[in-house]
Amino acid sequence: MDWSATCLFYAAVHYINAYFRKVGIPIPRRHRGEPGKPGRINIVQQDPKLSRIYPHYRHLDDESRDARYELKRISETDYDRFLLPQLENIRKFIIPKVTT
Amino acid sequence: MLSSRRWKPVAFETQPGPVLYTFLLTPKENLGMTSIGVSSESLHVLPWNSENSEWVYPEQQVARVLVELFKEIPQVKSICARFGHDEITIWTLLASYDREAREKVYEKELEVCKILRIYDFDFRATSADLVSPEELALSGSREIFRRN
Repeated sequence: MDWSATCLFYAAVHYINAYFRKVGIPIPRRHRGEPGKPGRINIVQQDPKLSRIYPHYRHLDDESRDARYELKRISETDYDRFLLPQLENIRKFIIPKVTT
Repeated sequence: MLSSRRWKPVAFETQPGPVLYTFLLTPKENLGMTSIGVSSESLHVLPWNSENSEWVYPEQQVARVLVELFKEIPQVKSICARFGHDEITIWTLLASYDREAREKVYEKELEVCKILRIYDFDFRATSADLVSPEELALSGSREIFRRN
């Protein structure tokens, strides 16, 4: 389970990249911004539509970094009841927008 | 709007460097600000009651906005910031690993972005049990708010 949050986070990254591709936003190379170039997280923050999934994205972001860098243990209950639903919310938001 | 508020220098004291700005918000809340990221040329600070002292460092203004917003969440125990050359890292440390409180932090992060419109924020929200302000200080962060 150690890497489960990280896997979910990067799955979320791919959903968001798919949205960028669909609406014509160049896919950022970085999670965060750099001078003059917003990162993926910045676009999610600033885009009125995408900001609706910001909390779900941030939960996965923080939990994956807690697991990777702070050695936070993730239980199966955490995964089933909290983490996976965050990705599901992102998926449900993105899929209709990229498949029409 | 916080962005349009004119910050008054009466709220903090300035001293010759290394500069430490400290003032009490309430008996239970202590807000400390430092001159992180300010060049040595900028360390000549005018007295707060000088006619020419109606300004604050950009880092201070950012820190004030952050603290004003995040401290509204009762579970926020500490806020740490690191002002780098091309990014600002903000750690919001909660009293426990509280996912509902963390969701409130995320709402505040969006507010911060709307107010400050800075691209290079790196927000992190976690528990103070998992990451301590003292540990963050080792990597260059400064605690800008602590709830006692």
